Amino acid sequence: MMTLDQDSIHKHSFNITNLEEIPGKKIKHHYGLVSGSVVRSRNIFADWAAGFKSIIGGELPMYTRLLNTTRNEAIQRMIAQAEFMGANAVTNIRFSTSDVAQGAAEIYVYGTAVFVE
Amino acid sequence: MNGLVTAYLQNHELVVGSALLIVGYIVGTLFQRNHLRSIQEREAFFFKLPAVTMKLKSFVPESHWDQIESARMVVGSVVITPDYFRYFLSGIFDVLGGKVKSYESIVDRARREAILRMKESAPMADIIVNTRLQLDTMQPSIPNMPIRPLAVYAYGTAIRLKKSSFPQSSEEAIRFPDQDIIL
Repeated sequence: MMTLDQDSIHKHSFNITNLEEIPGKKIKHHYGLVSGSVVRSRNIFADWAAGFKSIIGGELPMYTRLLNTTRNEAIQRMIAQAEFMGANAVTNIRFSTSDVAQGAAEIYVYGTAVFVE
Repeated sequence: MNGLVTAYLQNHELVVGSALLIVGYIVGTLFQRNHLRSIQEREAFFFKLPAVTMKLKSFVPESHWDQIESARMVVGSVVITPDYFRYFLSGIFDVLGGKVKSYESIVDRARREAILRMKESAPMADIIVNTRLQLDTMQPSIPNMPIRPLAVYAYGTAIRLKKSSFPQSSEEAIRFPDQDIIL
């Protein structure tokens, strides 16, 4: 089983959630939309491994790992943007993925930066 | 009859194709059975941690929000590829039309696995609210590779109450030693 890199997402007390509010806290300021996006291509070895694996089917751990690191990086970028604005939480987060080119995928994370107390 | 067999053996593409089909069917079925068994075991283990699509208000009224210890986003993702035999079956069904059960099971497995991984990253939570699922097909850069792996995300907000039904240092923490427990 692969390890989820959740720790890097939840560094210090920065709060991210896909709810519309932070429960038990009051929103003081809105800073508007923040987003993070990463376009990453898979290496050819992972692709060949995937090609062989698709004969017998099953999970592609290399792809899963790549997806996880890419997504965490996108979240990090979003958090960095929110911190730069002076926010201490991001609410109502949405994910979106798309194939932008052959062999490359984009992960886009967006939410609303807020200051809560 | 002998002529047919020799003609078949001389057609290398046909031989390789049918070998792939047989290997895909046998190993793919075995993998699928093992995966489904593992999914069922883990779903039974997480029976008390429901993942729901509803908002938090439906479960904890706003007047009780001071009872919430933490609310954190959790994510689970998985990339799964169908085997060659099931891919081939879907090609046949493309012509005939109708339900493609072989693909239904793969999509189902991928979604359940993603939800389980999301739950495994928050074993101390009481409930996961506002769960969203997203499925995406990947496009490998190998030319002429027709099989598209499926990437599934599950994400939601894990809620842990102050009077949680789970103790802080429970067996769950031992069961997932390689995972960061965030709640």
